[in-house]
Amino acid sequence: MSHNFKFLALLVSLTLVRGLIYIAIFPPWLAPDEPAHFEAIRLMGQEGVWPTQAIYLTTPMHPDMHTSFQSFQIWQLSGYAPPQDALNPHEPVNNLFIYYYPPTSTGSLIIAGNYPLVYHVLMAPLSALVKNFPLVQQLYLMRLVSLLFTTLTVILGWFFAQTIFPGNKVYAFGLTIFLIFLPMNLHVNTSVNSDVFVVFLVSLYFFGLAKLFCEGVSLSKIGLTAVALGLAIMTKPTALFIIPTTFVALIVYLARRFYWKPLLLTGLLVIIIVLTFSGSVVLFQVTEGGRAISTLQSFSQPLNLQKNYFGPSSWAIYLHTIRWGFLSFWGLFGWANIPILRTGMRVVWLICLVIGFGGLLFIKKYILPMGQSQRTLSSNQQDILLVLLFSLIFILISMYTPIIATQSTHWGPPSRYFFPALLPFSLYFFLGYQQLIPARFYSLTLPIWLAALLLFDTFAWGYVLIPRLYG
Amino acid sequence: MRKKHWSIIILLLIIASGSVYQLLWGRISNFDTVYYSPLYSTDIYFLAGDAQITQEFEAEYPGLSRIELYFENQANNNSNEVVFHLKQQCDAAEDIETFTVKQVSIVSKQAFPLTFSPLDDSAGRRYCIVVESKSGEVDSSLGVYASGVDTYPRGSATYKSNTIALPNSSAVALTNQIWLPIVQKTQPVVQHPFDIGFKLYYNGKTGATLQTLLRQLAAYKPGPLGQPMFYIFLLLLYGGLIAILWVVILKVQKN
Repeated sequence: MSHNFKFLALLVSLTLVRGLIYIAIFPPWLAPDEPAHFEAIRLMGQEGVWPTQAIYLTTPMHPDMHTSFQSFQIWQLSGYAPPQDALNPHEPVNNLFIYYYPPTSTGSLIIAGNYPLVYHVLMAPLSALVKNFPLVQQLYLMRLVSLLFTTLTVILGWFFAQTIFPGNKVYAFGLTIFLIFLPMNLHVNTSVNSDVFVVFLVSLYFFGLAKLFCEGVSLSKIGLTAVALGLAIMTKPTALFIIPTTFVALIVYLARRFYWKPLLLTGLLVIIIVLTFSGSVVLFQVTEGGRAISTLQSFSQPLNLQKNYFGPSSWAIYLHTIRWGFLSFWGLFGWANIPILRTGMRVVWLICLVIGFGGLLFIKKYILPMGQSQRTLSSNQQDILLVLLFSLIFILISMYTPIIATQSTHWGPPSRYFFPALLPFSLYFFLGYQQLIPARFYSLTLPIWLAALLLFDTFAWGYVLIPRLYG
Repeated sequence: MRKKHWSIIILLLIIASGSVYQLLWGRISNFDTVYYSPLYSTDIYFLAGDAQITQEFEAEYPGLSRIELYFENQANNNSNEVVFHLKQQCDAAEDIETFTVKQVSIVSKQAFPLTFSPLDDSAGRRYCIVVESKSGEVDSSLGVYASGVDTYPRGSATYKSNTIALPNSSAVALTNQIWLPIVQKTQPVVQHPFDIGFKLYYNGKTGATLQTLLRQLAAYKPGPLGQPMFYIFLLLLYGGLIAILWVVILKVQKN
């Protein structure tokens, strides 16, 4: 077995063990929207019906649903309360799921026509297969499938980094270690939710892009990237940012192929950013959001651009959502929104600011001097890194324009909306961090990286999650 | 060289401005809306005269040593006292612990702690906390935050309203505190199940606490996840893999 595969086997084992730890720690139903996704899959797989509004109003939920919520103290942990029967206060109002979980969690109902169902269709056969198993066991089996997708994402991350930086395993280790030790990634992507599948598909898309740029164009690579792109968009609107990313990839490729002037390239990239930003604002004004594209709905709401986007209340919303997005990326666990310690967040803010500065240094040093003779990276590396940088800009646009467009915090944004861009983010985060390590301490780059992430993660589950969930 | 200096200066500026911002304007409470659960603050139960509120609960770990409750305090400057009784059962004659505190020391909406010597055998045992205020005036009364519905499956609360005549009982609504007289007049006995907001803290022996934790982790879970030993195995496996990863990484970085 080559060294490469030995390393990969180690990382895969670590992902599986850590995934099992997170699956075991988090009680059933406590992950974001997990009951809603599970119920939609169950309706399709076990009841043989499409999860429409009418079906939710007539088909009873699994008879053990309420009992398992009670056994695991889900209502108490989440801080919500279900609508209760006036005569029998320990019982729900009735046996319909639509009146049980969704009223406590806005939008937590997967309805055919309003919500993309690719993931649910994929999981329905498994649900049919385990129909006679106890309810909680069914849920854990589905979580194991999510762990499988997460492991595949880590494998993709390894090869993705190796494709961009062949012959140097430091980057592959840096990227995959971040994926494996980011607590929220392990938590969200080992639960029953379409997020895990979309993260895998978008990672596949980025892997395809890296192959195209670094190893040359071929039909199979284009096919792989296109299939991943299409499936990802159909699976969840959080993948929509890869549409403008694809345009940028095409433009960067053409610019290199036909020796476009830097000014022309810059102009086109700026135009794409402006169009993506304004298009995203308009999209959220005239529809219920990106789901309209994923489910091919018609646009029904009137456009209203007369709002005051720069008033004090608007800025308060922007600041709040930036804080919330940041917090939920590093540690705001489950539907219960369990935070990592507040004072700890200040340190994380500071570290991220410094690493962000390192990232800027990297961009200025290695990506901006395109075409110059003294550059360190190859033109292929520069191109793919530029495309990845734009993908990060686009995902931020897609996360925050709903808030700008609606002037409300309705859309969060929870960090899982950012997770489809985990591959480029992890790479840039590592590159930014690497810029901060002085040359004479270069041999400590990976050990410090691992130590910091390991400490953070151990703190999260050992000091925050377990005491909160089982204390 | 000059470029390097600029980088360091900008870096220091970012760190300095971030630190100054946190020192001068940083407010941890900004995150309160994210963390704050409205579950245990939908209702307030009024304590005055001989009114009393009780809450049953089950301690999950050994070493129960602290209970936190949440209040809305109307007292500005009085000598009223609040009495807390920790009992084995709500109707037990004897107290395990009794606390008498000045009402003015209770801060509204903040967790009010009752700290006592750890009860080493508390795991799995049921307890009851009884709260009564010795307030003789309506406008210096104490409200206990509670849920409007039954949220805690391992016990419930009871509320007995005041039965003795109080001076100022016809008082009009206080400024910004309209709920007080309304609650006093309309809720003599609460029929529906509810719970007050509370938190339990433990300070038990390590071995016993870990044993309980393993049992809690495995409770109600299927297959191997339902076996306490599985968690020890998982932890050992994880430790082993981490050790191998360290060795590998040090090697990779060296090469």
